[in-house]
Amino acid sequence: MKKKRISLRIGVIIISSIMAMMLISFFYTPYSVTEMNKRERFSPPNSSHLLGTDNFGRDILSRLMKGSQTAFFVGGVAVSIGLIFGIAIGATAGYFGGVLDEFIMRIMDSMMAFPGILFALMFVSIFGVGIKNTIIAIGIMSIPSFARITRSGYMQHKEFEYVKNARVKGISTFRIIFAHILPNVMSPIIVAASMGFSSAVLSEAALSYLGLGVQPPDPSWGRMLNESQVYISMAPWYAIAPGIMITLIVLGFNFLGDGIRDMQDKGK
Amino acid sequence: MYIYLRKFTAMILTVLFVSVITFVSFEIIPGDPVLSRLGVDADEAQIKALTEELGLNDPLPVRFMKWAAGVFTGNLGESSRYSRPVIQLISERIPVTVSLALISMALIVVFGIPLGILSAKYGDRLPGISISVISQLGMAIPSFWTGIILMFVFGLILKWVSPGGYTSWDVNPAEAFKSLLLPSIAIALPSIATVTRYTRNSIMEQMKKDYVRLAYSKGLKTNSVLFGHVLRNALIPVITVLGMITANILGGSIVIEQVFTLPGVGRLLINAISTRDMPLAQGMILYISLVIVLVNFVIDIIYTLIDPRIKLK
Amino acid sequence: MSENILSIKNLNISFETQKGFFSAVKDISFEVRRNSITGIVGESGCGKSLTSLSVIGLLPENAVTEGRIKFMDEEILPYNEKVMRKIRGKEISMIFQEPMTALNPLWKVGRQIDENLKLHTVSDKKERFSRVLEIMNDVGLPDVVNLYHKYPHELSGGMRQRIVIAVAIACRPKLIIADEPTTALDVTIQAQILELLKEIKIRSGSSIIFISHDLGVVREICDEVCVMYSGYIVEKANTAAIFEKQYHPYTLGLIRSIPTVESKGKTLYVINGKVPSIYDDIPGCPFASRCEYAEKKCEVHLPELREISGNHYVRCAKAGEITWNRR
Repeated sequence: MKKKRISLRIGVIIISSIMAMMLISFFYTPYSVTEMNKRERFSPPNSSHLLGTDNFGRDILSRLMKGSQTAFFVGGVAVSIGLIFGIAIGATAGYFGGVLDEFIMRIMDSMMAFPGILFALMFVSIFGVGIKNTIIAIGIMSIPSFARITRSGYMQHKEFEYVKNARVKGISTFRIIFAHILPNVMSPIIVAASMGFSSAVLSEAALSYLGLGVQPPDPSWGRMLNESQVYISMAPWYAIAPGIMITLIVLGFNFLGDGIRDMQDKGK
Repeated sequence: MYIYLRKFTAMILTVLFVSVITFVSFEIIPGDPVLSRLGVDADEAQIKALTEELGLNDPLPVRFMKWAAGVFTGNLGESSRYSRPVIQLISERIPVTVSLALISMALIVVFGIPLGILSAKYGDRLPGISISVISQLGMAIPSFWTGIILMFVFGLILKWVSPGGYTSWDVNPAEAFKSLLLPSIAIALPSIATVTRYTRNSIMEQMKKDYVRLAYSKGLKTNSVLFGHVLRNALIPVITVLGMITANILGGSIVIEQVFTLPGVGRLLINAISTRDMPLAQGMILYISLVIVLVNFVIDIIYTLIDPRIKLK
Repeated sequence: MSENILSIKNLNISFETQKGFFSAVKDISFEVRRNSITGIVGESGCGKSLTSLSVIGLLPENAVTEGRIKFMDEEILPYNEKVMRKIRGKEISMIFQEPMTALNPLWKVGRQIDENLKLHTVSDKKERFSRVLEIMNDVGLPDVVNLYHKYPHELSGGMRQRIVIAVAIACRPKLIIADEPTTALDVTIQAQILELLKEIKIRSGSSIIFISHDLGVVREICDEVCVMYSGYIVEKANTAAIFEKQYHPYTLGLIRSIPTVESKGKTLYVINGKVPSIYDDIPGCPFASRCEYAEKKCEVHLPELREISGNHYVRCAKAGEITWNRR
């Protein structure tokens, strides 16, 4: 039990610190994010630039802070897309069952077998690169896992007495699905959402690293890693900081998910 | 036999589904493929001729059939950028990617499963806890960052490998392996972590079963119970994850080939997309997905062979 | 050599959990005679399974055990894992409740019996094979050569339970612990398995600890009975005596709730209330809250287990004072 609490605590601490950093970045960053300074190119971490500067002499800390906005924005919107469609699809398949279920789950399974990055690449190659399409692609990618979890919850709960009672009372199917069953199957979905956030951030970083995700001047940690790689022998610090940020945020959401799940298990 | 037939049908349906999706997706691309080839100032006759040549006047289902026939005969048309058959371009790049995938898979199995066993055995003690902390980290670190760091440390600082270099197998196998090892490690790391955790949970799950108590009540040692009884039962579900792992490996190799500038399929795909070489991108995406579907099918079959409970049904 | 194969004295089993320390088995003492069947009866969670696991030394790791357990005149508590491994499967063996899950699904059933022999007695492979067939014959399995190579899922529940029993008797143990061995089975199969256990006792001279929640079944098979409630033994005697006269109201309740031919059509007797939670620390008699005869003193004072008549023990303050009205 002690160890489990630790998961939740670590998760909350990491995520809330990065969130605080993001909120601060709306009002204040040590330097301008876009301002270039030729004289201060590649200065290693020092008292005026805590994390050093990049190839344009921009302050890395400031760019990291702004980058957290992108990470949360992409993660948040993508997970919401996944949640909305995943729950709708999973609930339909699980509640109605039969051929419809078979058909939907076949499609979801094929989507799941697909490497996410491949799908995202296909998506941006068709609709073009940019933050909007990145988010949509990542969102679509995350639908199957939410659908799967929702479905199994509904398959279980539709057999329960309270659902049968509701049906006898003549409550509309729509209401039964969303007002009666949904709150009861939410707990694993919340855990999946937290984990989904991690994979969304990872996918965004990978796409942006490939130059097919977030485009300049929007700051993105993945993109920063891409730029840093060219200059790694001159400025290794540039490649360290964004990587740590990505790792931290992913770790944070994974721990958070684990922690929430353990809390739910304990409640039972 | 029935079960194999069912699985085979399911696989064929998935192949069909993936092909339709890939085909239709690329059909709805904004922009005219003819104009993009000829340039804006092409004359009427040229446009007509090329439209005819590319078969763009046919209705959609006919075009799909033609394209699908091409997929299975290896005729996917010509790359608009390289002006060479797509299939030729891809097959040149296959050795690198397949080598990466095999080395990564080997690393994943060789490290993931034993670490999972160790971590299950020493659950609450130091080795168990440290393995689970490291595996959490392993899942969180983006593979391309691992790649960058590995290349920096082993290529630029220690100079064990030449950064960005690739030697092909037929030139020097030892060098080839050396140039592929670091990228494979970067690809494998997150999956090693996943397999470790999965194996561990699966073992812990099995340890609660009644047959384990029976085994202990016979007077067996913990190790005999673990390796004699539990392990095989625990590894059956792990095999199913290997399908997902294959997808992860191919996905990872798309990115990692970019990090290490390896001339593989992934790098070709990124180039195709960046230069909007649609026939090439379409063909590659389809082939990569078909490989994944096939691997999953094979794993499914292996699964039924290992578990005697499924055979009879 | 004493006449008891097993004797347990003042056994306490408690657990250290995150929720705190609780004791699950309290001050249990009983003996198992050679070549006899001793029943332990009680509701789920009364501590009967834990008691039996303590005999074979397979309690969960966070269990703390106090008291004395003597098996064949040797003290086995505190456990020595090396010694216990030699005893387990050879001298003491166990039959589990769920034949569906008690066998390793990936091992042929013959091999699962064979493993026991290989571990403890016979080393020659051929000899073991014929021994396994013999044992399978003994437990009433048909077509044994063929059956040897079957997987558990290919057998019916009754057959699997026979395999589990075959595993248990493979090395001719002195003591077999049968933990609700018939609960998961159909009634007709249940009767067959009970017959088989009786036969084993007679044929091989083993003793059996028979754990059950069903007094009806216990009456069929046991020589002695211990009734457990909330971690305590509340009554123990030989089977005939306890069915003749019950001194503890809980035992009475259990017997009254057995459906019989006479009770057909009538409402079955139900003991009101719930078993107290293991986390509750009750100073008095644990049954007081459900007992229709309970007085003030029952709630504050835990009665001793006392001998009320020849070899008939009861843990009730009012036992003997009043006659319980039977039906």
